[in-house]
Amino acid sequence: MNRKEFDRSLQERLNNYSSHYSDQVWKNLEAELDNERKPLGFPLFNKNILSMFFLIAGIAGIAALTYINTYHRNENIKTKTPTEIKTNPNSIQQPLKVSKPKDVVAAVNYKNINTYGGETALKGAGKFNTKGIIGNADKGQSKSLIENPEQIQIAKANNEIIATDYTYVESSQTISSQHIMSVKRSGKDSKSLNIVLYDPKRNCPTFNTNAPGYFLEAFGSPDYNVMDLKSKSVEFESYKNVRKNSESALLGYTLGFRGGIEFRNGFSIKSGISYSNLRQKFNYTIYGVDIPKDTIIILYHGPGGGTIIQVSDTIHYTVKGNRYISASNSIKSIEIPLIVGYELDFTRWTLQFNAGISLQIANIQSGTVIDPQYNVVSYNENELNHYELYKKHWGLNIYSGVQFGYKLGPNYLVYLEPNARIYPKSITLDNNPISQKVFIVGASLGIKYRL
Amino acid sequence: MDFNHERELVLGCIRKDRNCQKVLFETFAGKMMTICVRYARHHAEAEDILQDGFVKVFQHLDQYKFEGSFEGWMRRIFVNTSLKSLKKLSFQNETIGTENVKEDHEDPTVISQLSEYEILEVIKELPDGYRTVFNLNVIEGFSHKEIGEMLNITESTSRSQLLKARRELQRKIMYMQKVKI
Repeated sequence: MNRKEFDRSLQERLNNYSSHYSDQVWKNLEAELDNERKPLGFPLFNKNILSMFFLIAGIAGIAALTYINTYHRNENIKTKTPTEIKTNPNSIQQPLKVSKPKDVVAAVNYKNINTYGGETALKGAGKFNTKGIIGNADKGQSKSLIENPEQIQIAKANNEIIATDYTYVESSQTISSQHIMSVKRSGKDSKSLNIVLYDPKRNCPTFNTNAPGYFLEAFGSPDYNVMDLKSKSVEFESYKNVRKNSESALLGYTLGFRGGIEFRNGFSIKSGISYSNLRQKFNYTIYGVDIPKDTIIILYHGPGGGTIIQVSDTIHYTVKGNRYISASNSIKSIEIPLIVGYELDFTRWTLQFNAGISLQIANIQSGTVIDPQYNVVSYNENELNHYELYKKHWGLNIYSGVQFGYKLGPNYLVYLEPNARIYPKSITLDNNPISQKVFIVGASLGIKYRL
Repeated sequence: MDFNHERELVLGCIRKDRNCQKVLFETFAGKMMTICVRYARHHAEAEDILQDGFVKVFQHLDQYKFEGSFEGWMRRIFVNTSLKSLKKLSFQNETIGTENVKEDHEDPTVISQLSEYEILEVIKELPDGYRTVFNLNVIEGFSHKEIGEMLNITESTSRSQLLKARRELQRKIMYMQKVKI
């Protein structure tokens, strides 16, 4: 047989031979064909769509809630407080009736203040915790001086608290407001009341001080990361798929502190520092590896008619098998955020829309990956000759979040803030054939303290 | 598969009929997988190439004019897909000619004693450059000139790679025969 006949024989044998493949190939192919068939499918977890959703929701939310808030403030006070009580100036104050848990109707007899049992009445209503009064007139939370009935009327129309340090009217008046925390007599002066506000509206003209407030906050958040891998050229398309299939996200976390300034118009600016741990799982199977095996052979032989001799020997051999590799990857980083927020105040609840940037100043990388030569390698920075995969500094990421806050008091607020961060630039080194971008979603739980 | 059945199957796949696509896949996947195994470095990569190849087949099925063998048309797609998946091979800069390379001849009786699986295993163990040129010349039937254009190498590099591939293949086959004995 000459060479040509040999090649032809080899060609024919191999061209007619069918090799084994796993069922997963058709499943992956079918999924890819389905994606082609449904170009208009809504990718729920697409990072660009999620970011746009937050932005549009934020803008729509601000517009809608600002309208609602304005409408709410212009509402007639009588419809808001069906249980207003008007008292005879000379009568003893009746116990307060509260229509809703957070509404307080304080009927105050201005003239005959001695008969007013304001504090007792409020305690009887049982709707506010007057234990440990959280503020008083000295701290500026109820300091406006209303000196004439006209001012009272204006304040009532705005559904705001009227606070006074002295009696001023001839006839009884009715005050109602959602902001009253407590009412008590002011010192020895039985004719004056100290009405403590829960939290005056920031844009209240009566209490408008124009002075911004400062705050500190601490938070923690579970995080989930989504990696977007793209090959820089067609020849690395298979490599990209292998990397994609070998890496999956694990739940990570972020912890941080922030401080900032909030203005009376609702806007705030904050900055601070945060620590993140981005985690992944690495799983990879190497097919057809030589697995060393040892076996002990025991031979029995003996000379004819003589003693049986037992001899043992160890045979080393290899078999083909699969090696399964599993590892945990993590990237720890320090970031400095700069975030702008806009808050809507609903007395006890707040809604704040936050957006900004965050700068990653350092990171520590540790993990396992497949390199472009399909070797399993470590990119653990502490190891000598580790594979260099990610940049040391990832630069800026874009942050957006919606904060739902609940006031524990005028100074303390707890909040839940679903948020998203996206690194718009690739985090892999420039010489890596794969471009990799990161999108992180989280839900921060935090506490804020207003100074 | 007869021509009419094949024609109906292809037309069904062009209409994106999922059942036809699955039948086409099941009919040809085994043979196409053999092509992928010959070029890939390992089984996982071969399966990736198989998947990518079939995506290209389904995408370009409307370009098949029912002239010539459909299997041959698919083979060309899979060979191209396999070549694209390989990283640029390091032998591109090689300029050694073939004059001083001793030409060996394979023993046809030895290789006929090996199964197709064993032959594929031996081919898979060849270095990337040797394996690619061997597949393209010996199995696919491309000339060295055509191989040079496909891989962006010189014709003499292609020839020397093939000679080295044949020698390496023979050495491995002889070793396998000794182990068997």
